[in-house]
Amino acid sequence: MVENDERQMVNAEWQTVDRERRMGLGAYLRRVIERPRGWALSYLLTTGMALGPALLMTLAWAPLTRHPLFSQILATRSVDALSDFVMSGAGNGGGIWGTLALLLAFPIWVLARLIWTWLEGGTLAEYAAGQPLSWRAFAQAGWRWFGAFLTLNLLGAVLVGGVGGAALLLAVFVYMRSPALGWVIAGVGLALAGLIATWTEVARAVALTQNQRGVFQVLGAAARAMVRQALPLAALVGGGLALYGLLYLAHRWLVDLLPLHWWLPTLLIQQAYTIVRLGIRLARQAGQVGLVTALAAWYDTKAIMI
Amino acid sequence: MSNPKSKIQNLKSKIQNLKSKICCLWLALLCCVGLLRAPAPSLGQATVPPPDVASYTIVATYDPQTHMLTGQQTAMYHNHTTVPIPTLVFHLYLNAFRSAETLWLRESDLRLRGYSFDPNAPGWIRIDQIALADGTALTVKPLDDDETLVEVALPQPVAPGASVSVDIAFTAQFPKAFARTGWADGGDFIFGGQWFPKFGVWEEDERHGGAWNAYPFHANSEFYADFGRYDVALTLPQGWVVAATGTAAPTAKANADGTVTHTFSAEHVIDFAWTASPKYREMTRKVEGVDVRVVYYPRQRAMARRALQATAGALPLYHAWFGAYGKSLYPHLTVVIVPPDAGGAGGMEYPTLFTVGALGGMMPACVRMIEVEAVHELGHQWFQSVVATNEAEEPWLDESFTDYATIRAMNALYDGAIVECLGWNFSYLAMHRLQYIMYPDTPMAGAAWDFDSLQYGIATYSKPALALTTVERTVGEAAMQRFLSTYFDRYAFAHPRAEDVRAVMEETLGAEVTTWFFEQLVRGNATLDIRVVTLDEQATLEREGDLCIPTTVRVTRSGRQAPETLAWPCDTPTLTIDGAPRLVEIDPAGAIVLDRDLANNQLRRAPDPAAGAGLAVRWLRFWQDFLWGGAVW
Repeated sequence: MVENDERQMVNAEWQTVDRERRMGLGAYLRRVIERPRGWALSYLLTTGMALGPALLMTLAWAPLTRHPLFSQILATRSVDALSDFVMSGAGNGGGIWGTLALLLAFPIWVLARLIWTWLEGGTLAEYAAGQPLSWRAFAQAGWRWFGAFLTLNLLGAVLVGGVGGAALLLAVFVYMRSPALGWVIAGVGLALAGLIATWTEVARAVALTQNQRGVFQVLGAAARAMVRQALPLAALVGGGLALYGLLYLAHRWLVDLLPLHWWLPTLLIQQAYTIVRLGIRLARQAGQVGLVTALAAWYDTKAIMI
Repeated sequence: MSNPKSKIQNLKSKIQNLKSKICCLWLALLCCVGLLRAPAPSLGQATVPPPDVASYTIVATYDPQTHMLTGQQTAMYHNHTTVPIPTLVFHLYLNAFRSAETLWLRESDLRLRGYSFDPNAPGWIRIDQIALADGTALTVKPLDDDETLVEVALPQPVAPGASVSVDIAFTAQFPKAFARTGWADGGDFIFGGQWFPKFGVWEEDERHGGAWNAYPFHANSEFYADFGRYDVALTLPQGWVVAATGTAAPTAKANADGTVTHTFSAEHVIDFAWTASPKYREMTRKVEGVDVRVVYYPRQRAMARRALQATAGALPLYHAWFGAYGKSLYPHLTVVIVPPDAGGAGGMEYPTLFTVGALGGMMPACVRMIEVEAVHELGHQWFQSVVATNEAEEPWLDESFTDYATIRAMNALYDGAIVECLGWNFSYLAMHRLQYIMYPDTPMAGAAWDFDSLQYGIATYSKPALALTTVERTVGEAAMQRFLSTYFDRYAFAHPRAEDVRAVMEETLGAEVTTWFFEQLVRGNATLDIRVVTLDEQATLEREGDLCIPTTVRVTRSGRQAPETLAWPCDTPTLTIDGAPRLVEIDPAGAIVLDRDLANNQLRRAPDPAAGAGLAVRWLRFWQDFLWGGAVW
């Protein structure tokens, strides 16, 4: 009985959506920093899981650093050196460590995606909630939305892959006859794939704010939300994309300045880039929660007026 | 009393003196005018070329609906040898495309560079009438089954030093463009290459006396022709933009029937090509005193700008390395960007004109295929258009210098990279290495038809370009410069053979380089792999293959000591270095790009821990991205 009450309390905790308070988008974006649990967990878990195969691959390839040409490939990203190295057979195989890393790649990737899906439930619930969640509520939100979010992720992947792949094939086919049209089709395909990815992402925010786990209902509601909030959503996604692009260029520029042997500064820059990039993604998702919440509040007001 | 002869002599001397003074004044005036004018770079001293051998006056009308051309041609051949010419031989190249059964199409498997022959749009050429200038009718006899080569018997041989002139009426059907020449874009584009009856080359040698150097048209083969003057009047529908080979400004005259006749003239050239389309746009730029004109389709503006930029970048380089463009006799240069469905007409050189766009449509800016194509075809303006070697019998001669120049120009203009995307770079030289190492023992010498298409690529492009790059890096840029400019200067407007190149190389670079270049690479099948075999307490280095190029070895014993450089002569197959070196690098300057395997040229005694740490950092980032979903943001 006590346990049941506690669960209800916990549920109430993450179900408290700031609908009445009509918070601005900025407030939701700030929650990424104010409630950094999701951000930190995502980074730590990804990095932790990446460390294993990264070390295995390093062990596999470390003997290759006897060949200065190999170091040149890493340092200058020279396809010239790479082709000479590959053709020479000097880089053949990665030994037992490389094989192990390759064998582990897929299971680790699946596990990482599942953990991410679970984390997404807790993280988005925390951004949607009036108060920061307790660890328990965070975990429970993760479990509660796990099934729905996983379905949405799979559906999104199939749709993005299908539409993107078909557009790419069509673009290649058309490119043979009319290159300009081929590029247009590729561009449209890319935009469509981006739109679908955003759609499934907004659907997660809709599911959470409307406490709705029916995938098709939330996809419908997400489509309506995207139309209603088209401009702010475009600003959110476009702004995030632009920021991401700038960040990528800055990071690339910095890393390219560093010689291969300066591994520590490279590590710091690359990890800082990874952390900030993760922050941009979470900010976009928090913003989507904010936009969907604002829309729900608007619907509520409309209902009261009627 | 003075002698009248001496008076005349005196007078002559005074006149001569006066002439010199006037000449000096005139030169000074020219200099002043030159100084006052905008500082256009000088064209340099124009060469006086030898007399023209094969000259043509052609009046032709092209019908874009039927893709047919009817022409009237007066062709004049001057016998510059000491042997009388009993017959005339003409190439009728377009007949190579008259059916899928021709030698050319059988050899090529119906395609060239990925573009296929359309049997519904063949090409052919027919001599309707041929007669001497006095009206004596002549008879045409085919020399091959496809009639790509025909012979015309003359009533009288052409005596040494004399000329013969024939009037030819001909009809040509252009194929749909897939191999250099033809129409595309539903008829709105035409490229006229190898389109008129063209003389072979009458040559004299010790063994045969005099003979025509001309072969049936083979798939791998390009061309060989004498220098001459071309006066061409082309009639096309109104509104068509025409570009062609030319050394003088073209003129256009509207006709009453709604057509326009474009007149071109070109002196001291080996061929005449033209292109036309109602859709062409153009851009121009003056570079080193040369008027560069680019014609392109409206949607290819960006491509045209890139080609112009590359051309404008490479022209001064070639000018400095080899000599003035056209030995200062060609004031114009036309770059044709072929439309996407005419890629087969792209990537080809003609005097004062070349085409780009062999790969079809637009490439992203980081893929410099348009640039490399322009830089390469521009190089042919020196090595083929002016130094006119025989592309059928010795195809490596022009491609070697052109592709070597392309590598060097790409290095100067783009850091060598033909691809520079997302921080990864790939050079034109490395592209050649990838092809070369498939059959590194292919000799460069050989007629075009001696090779299959892959070996043709290796023998004429990759291996010679790498070989000349190795020569340059072995002898140094200054010596190479001497070799190149002497060769170009000596054989401008001539037909040098491999032996002539050899003589210039020996004269400018010495016997050692010439021997390994000609004996082992041009005619021989020698290859080389220099490598570090083991490195523990001592290093063992091995030289495998007969190619004898001396090199050096850099040995680093510790971080505190300066590296030591050892000479490694080519008669020492194995080298042992004691004292547990930390790092051994063979050919540290990277001169021998002909080495079959460059990866085994250097070795450390132990793995490099800092590079290992750098590797770990990169792997971590890779796996983070992979687990996170990679590019999905």
